[in-house]
Amino acid sequence: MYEAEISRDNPGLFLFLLDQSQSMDDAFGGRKEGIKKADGAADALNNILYAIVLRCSKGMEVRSYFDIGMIGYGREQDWVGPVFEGDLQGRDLIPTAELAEKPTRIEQREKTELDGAGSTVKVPVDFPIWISPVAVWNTPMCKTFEYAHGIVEAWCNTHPTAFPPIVINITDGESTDGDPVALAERLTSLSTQDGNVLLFNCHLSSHRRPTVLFPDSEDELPDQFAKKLFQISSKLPEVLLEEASVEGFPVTSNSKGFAFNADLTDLIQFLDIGTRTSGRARDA
Amino acid sequence: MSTLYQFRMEKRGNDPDECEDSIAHSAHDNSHVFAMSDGAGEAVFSREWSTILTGYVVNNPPDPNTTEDFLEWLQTSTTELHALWVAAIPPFEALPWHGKAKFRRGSSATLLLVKIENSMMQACAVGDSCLFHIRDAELLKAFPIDDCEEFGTRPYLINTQSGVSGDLASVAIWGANMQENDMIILATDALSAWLLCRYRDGGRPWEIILGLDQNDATFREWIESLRDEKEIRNDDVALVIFKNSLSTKNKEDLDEDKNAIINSPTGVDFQLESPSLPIVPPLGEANLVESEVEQVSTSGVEKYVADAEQAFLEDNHDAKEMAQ
Repeated sequence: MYEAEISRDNPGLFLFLLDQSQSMDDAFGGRKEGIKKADGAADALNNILYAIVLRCSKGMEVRSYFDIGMIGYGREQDWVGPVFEGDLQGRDLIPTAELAEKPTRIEQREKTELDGAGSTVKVPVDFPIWISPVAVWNTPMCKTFEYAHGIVEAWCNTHPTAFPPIVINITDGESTDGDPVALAERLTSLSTQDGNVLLFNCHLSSHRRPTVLFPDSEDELPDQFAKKLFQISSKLPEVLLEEASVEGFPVTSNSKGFAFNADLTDLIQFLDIGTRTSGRARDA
Repeated sequence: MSTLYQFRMEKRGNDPDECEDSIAHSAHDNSHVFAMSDGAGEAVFSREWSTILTGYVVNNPPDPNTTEDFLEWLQTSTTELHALWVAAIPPFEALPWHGKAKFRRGSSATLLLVKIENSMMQACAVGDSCLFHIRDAELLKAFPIDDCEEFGTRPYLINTQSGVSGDLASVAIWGANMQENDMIILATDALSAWLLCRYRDGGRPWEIILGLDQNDATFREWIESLRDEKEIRNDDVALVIFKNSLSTKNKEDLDEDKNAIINSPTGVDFQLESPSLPIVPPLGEANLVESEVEQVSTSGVEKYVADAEQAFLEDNHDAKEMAQ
């Protein structure tokens, strides 16, 4: 299980679920100032899409090793839907080749690189933007898992031999439309021949409490909502456990794809580990 | 008469021109130079890079006496090789944003270089493309990797921007004598791993390879069957089979040198590998592999070098042009 080759003929699926509710307008860690969670989440997601596209790039072309979905929830009352903009607006899933061609815009950013003499230099790089920060209204998480179920079920039916879809939910608050546990379990009951759908949850910090990354029990989690998110999170399959271990996370065989009270750095690490299957995608 | 067969095959699901494994060969009088390279799948323009590396080294073969020499040669060649790669790919300004971003990281590839001159063979390697030296149907040496468990980790690679790591462990050289009718097999990682794993399990997998009719259709069918059975990783495959035959003069040289230390041209010694010492303990009882081998002909090995070499050189014409 969780061993399927990822290729253009047998692509994978990353489906991101992004909380865009009002509370995402607050700064990380309950601070009054600093990076807002909505800004940080959008930036982290743009970064992870950038990394995924680069892993699929062969120079002139990008190979469609993955279908990518970006589903937002909360930008209007009880709203759920795809949040890609511009030419991609309104579509649930985008192949990586098309994603590379159609960012909303490309910004110039500076990247620190080593020069030939071992010193660091800042070089300008093109940085594509697909996701813009939004923070209004509520947190219809149940409706979101239902929406995700529809996308993932259809995808599994047309990709029966694929590496199982990875669904990554980023939220900072409790569901406002009921208990999502049963709907999350229904989502993760979907499968391909290579295993069940994986659901990873990242809770963004609103309190000054220690971050918990990839826990193997709920003992350190402070409240019922955190424990619920832990319960509905999938165990990391072996391939991702290895990646997390290499990166220095103290994972065990029971570690789950869950982060509690993550700051921006934790979120980026979480997304990086959660999408490391993209390193397995290669046609050569 | 020496015989030569070379074969390349793309990963299942890819087009043939997407194969990033490259082979090059040059021959003069009694010398042959072979090069094999496996372009890194996650890098950009890896096919171009592996083609340039192989073309370059067969036309400008290094003559290292030590691993330090080979490392130094690679490091000093990086600038020229990088320029050849840049000339072979689209201009930076024409690249899309993702191509520009990955261009900065360069491309990477393994390199296996094998020189055979009269009765001497020298091999230099970076990474996990392997040489198998076979005499009297026995495997004498697998180089640079002799344990199938070593595949799967990240191999050492030559990068277009930074060359090789300064770590001596990233390079390997080895030398041995080459007797008449000795055979060498060169293979990139997927096939090398299959070969060494079958050997570890008591098989004689080189006999399967040497027993196949040397035409591409046969080898493609065979590789596909290994993939179907999940015996081999779905990856690009490159393979060279070379059977050594010596001229009369060379035979005399070999007799004089038999069991001696081979002196390199610059006077540093390579200890001959002892033909009586296999690289792993003697094989166990006959198994399925051997019974399969009994059913296949070994006569297909005979394919004469002139035609093969011509085809070989034509195949690598582009590489040579780029390397010049």
